[in-house]
Amino acid sequence: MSRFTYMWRLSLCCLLIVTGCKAWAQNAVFSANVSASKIGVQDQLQVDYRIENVSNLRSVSKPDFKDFVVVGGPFSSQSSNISIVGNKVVQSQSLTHSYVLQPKKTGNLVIPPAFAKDAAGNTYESNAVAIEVVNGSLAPRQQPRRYDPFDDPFADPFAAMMQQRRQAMQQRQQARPQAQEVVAEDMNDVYKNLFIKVFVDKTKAYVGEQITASYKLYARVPMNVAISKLPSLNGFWTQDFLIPNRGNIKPEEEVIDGKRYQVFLLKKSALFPQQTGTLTLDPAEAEGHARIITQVRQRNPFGGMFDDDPFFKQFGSLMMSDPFFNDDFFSTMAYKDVPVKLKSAPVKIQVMPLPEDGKPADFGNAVGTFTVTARADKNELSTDDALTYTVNITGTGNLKLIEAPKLKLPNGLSTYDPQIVDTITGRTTAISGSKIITYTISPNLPGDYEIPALTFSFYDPQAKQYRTLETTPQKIKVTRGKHQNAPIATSQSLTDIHPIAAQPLRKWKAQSKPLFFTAGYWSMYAAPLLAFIGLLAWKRREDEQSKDQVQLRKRRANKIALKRLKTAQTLLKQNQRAAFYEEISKAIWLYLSDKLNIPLSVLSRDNVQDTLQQRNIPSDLMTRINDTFTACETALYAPTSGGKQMQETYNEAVYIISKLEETL
Amino acid sequence: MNGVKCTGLALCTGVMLLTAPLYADIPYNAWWQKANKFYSEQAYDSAAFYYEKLAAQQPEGVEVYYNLGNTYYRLNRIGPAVLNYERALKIDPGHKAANDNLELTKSRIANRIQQPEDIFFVAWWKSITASNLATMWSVLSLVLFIFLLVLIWLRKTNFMSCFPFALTPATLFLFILTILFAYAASGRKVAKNRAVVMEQDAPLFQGTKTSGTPILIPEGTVLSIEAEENDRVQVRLPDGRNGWMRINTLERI
Repeated sequence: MSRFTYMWRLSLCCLLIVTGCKAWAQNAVFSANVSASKIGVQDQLQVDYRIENVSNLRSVSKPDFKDFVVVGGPFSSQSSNISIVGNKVVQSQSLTHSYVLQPKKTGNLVIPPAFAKDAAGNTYESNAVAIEVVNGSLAPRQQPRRYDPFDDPFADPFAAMMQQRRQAMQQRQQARPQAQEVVAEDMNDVYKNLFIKVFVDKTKAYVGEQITASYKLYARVPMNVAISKLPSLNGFWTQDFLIPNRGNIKPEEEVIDGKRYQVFLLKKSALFPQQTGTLTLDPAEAEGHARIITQVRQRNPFGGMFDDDPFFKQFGSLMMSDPFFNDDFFSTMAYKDVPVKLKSAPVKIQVMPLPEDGKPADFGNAVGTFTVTARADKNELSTDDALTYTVNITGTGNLKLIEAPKLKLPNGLSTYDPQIVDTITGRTTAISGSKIITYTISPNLPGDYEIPALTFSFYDPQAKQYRTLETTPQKIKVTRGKHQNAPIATSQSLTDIHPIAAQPLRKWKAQSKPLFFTAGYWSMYAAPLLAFIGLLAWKRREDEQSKDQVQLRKRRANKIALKRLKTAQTLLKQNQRAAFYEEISKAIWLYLSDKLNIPLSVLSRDNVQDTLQQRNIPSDLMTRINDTFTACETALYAPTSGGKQMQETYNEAVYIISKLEETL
Repeated sequence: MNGVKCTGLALCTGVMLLTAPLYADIPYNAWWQKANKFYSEQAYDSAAFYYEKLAAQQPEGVEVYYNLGNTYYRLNRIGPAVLNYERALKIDPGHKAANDNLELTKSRIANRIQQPEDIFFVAWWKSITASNLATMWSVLSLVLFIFLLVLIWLRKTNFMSCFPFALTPATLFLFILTILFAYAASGRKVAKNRAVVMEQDAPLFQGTKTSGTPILIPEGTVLSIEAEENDRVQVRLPDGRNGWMRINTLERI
């Protein structure tokens, strides 16, 4: 840019020289124009002196601004255009000198005319302009506009050059007392005119509270500087604010001690101190080149003191007499690129610990203003499935430093380390965004559970107190999955042990051997078993015995019968009828009783007949037994029968018993 | 005078010391109430002291072991807590609170060795032969035995016609089954083959008994003892791995 500036200045010189050889018969115009006719005493005013169609212009004198301070200028611009009018080529050219002025007092002031001389010795005078100056400022908003290169009516690169030129001029004017000195002194100037400053919005903060730090480059000279070392911000978590694209940084203007600086914002960061004590913001460093304008006379073709310069010899005397060309214009065309190293001053910040008073137990270093929400992605799932539980902390503050709140899950649900995603959304005035903590919860056992409320605490530095937020608890239902055969969760959401048994001890008893291994138990088996065996043995003996008795009676039956028959025979001889028949019937009955093993008491004619039939007794014998019984019974009650009948009955009885003895 | 007093006192003390174990008139309920009071006052150390005194008497009830387990849980001593819950459950496997608390305690074991779930019939067998059912099975088998004898007697004396023929063999089968259950359940009750690891990161040597890189077993792991040799025992971990451990790192349930 500067190079281009240099070029056009040279070309202007050449033009002046070249056009000086020709005579142009065109109307010369020299006019003064002001940007406003009425201004405030604090406002600035631009005055343009425009010379048209003057060939061989030698010099333009600087007017004597008695009532004004020259803030900037003179700035020169030159234009020429060639037009063809009819068959004639018409070339017109103009040169404009501009000054930026600030009035010294109020009232009606006059901007004095300027004078110009051409090679032919003609002097041109511009008009004077009267303006009115009032108190205060009339155009506070317009003021910076006039200096804003982008809004400048000239616009484009040329305007930017103007801006820099103006800047350089201004600096030169201020540095004028040293201007005749050597280059080395200019280095000090450079650092007066080019430096980095750090601004923090507070120097006392709590741990975790946001501090905004801005690194600004102040410049009054053209420069090309880049940050070489960013400050190492030990003890802070930093988050840079968004700075508009560097390509179109609009420098701001700032006036310090009456000097106008262009201010570039290099870096703006939110700092969150992480430790207590006095922390230092290390300096930021920048390196680059500054273009300084010096009084390097050998380079000045019009510098009057260098008589040996041929170029100067040609025009020297003229130039020397002109303050503008000599001092303000041509002598400043010399510049130098000097390397610069800039360093900001370190800033100390005192970090206080957060108050212990009222600090919640689950405080997780969050400082700022936040809201918290929690949500599970489903309410019903199987044990094969997993659940995503998302906790979203949104707000402004030290988001990245917040510890994830602890999730107290009931027994039967398990989770792993959560995934934490920090999203910074706002970077304009305060760092805001959200911290999303995602827990993956997998159920181990089916059942009904409740994800308990999550508490989240933070310190609000504005209100200077702690706040605790709570999410809503969430109920979930876990069903049995395909790969699950564990028992259903015995106790839903058991987070602590059951209380102790406190009732008084029941009957105190020491642990004993199990019943199965005690002798008493087995003796309980032995007792019935032995009883059973005894019973069995007894029954067997009993059976044996009864069997023997039957046999005996059987054997004795014949004998008894014979004995009774013998008695009957005796009674027959004595002719005792009643006793005889009784003896006969007794003999047969008793014999049958013994033989058939039927007790006498139950013995009757019917059951004797049945039993005898079972034993296959011939029927004629049966009839004869029956007849004998009948004979005995009738004889007992009918006393008519004689001795012959008694003999027959006796014979029958003997026959029956002998016959029965054979078959039974 | 003084000497006599001293002698008397010594004598008295001696007599008391002698009689104490003999008559064992230990103030169980006093200790019990004291321990419970300490527990409610969160003086868990003192509570544990009295519960331990009670537990040393090997009571039949589960309460002492259960409360002692809770106390150790509060003292954050996983090993003893698991041991006492396991002892309570050995007496009463169906004790719900003890089961829950044991599960909770075990869930706090770091790097816990998970026990795979039993196959259904193993689980059935375990629940049928639970140690608290030992007496029931024993009595039932005795009853069945007597019933069997009665049946046989009736059959001998020709009264069988009133009963179905298969009754006797069925009763015999049931009797054999119940006596088997009674044996298994009683065996479980007296078994001393389960143990709890009482030290954090107790070393378990695989292969040889002492050398090699040990596997570190977390405190509170319940394992079964397979064999014993001097001060070493062969154990099986819940996940089925085998190895040798020092016996003094374990406590039998």
